[in-house]
Amino acid sequence: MALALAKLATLRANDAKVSATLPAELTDAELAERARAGDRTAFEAIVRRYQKPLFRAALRYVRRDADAADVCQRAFVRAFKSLESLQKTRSLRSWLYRIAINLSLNHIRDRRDDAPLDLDALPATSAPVGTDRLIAGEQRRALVAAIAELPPKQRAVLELRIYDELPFREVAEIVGSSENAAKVNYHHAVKRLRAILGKEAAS
Amino acid sequence: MTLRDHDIERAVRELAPRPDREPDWEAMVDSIMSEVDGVAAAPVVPLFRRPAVLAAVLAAAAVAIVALSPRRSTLELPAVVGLSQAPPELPRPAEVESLDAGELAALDTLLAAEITSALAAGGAIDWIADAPDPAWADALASVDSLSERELARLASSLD
Repeated sequence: MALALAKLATLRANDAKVSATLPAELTDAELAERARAGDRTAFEAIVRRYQKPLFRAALRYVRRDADAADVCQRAFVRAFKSLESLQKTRSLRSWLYRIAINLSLNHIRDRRDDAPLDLDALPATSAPVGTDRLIAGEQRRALVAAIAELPPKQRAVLELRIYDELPFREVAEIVGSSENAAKVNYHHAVKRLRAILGKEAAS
Repeated sequence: MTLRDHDIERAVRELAPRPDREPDWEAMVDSIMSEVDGVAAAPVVPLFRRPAVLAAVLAAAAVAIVALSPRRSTLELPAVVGLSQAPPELPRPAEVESLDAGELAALDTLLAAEITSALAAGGAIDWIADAPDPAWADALASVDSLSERELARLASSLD
């Protein structure tokens, strides 16, 4: 017991030492390099940096908080196991997103028998009451349905651009296409949504 | 009303899904790092360090396993990128042929884990793109049908 406690104390001291020498402004590439070399604190820094965006990306697909948290956790563990395979020239962020989105899609595929999306049960908009919301009511429901029905790649590109504000270069890395193809997919998605919103506004 | 791209983007942004309750981020970090520590502490038996060698051996072993066990269902070969392209004439590794049922099952599990890991490292999107999903096919076709000039024009208009 005493030996175990002593080991734990040593581990914590080592962690603290590494943490103290880990500048907050380390780049993704530097963190990935350190994590690859076995620096636990560097991997924890990666988790802290990306847990929120990955959770939100997963939530867009799986819809339930608990499922999104589960996907997020599995994404990081999988990333940890695969750190060796992360190419130095590749963006850590897009690599993590790609893993999380793949796991989210797998999650959806494994739960196809789940109840379909209940549009009436969607939470109210995040915009405060009284602001000049662009859409409301039926138009809103139509847009939600339209986004859900976009081809997967178009939807992924649209959401990664708008929600995550990622550059097209990284969006392309995540969805596995060329940058031009990502831009075109984005164009198609916006065009389709514009048509739906225009139709709703006219009716 | 004429809707511009900016309007669409704003409308979509308004629909950003929100969690019912903000997660406990610290607890999530602890949970992730706890699992990561478990992975790090587990004994690692490197099968093959070179990805090309690993892929070739995985393909050969998987083909042999399926050939040896026609009723096996835990490995879905057509869904695994790379393995589906493995030449059918691949020789069966002698060491796989000599395994008993228990050893085969253990190898099967090991292969499934390795393949999952390999997919996570970059193959999964390709696998999804290759899946016979009409939605994916539509999206890819809509891009593929455009000429290089149209692609460039659209791309520049979005820069």
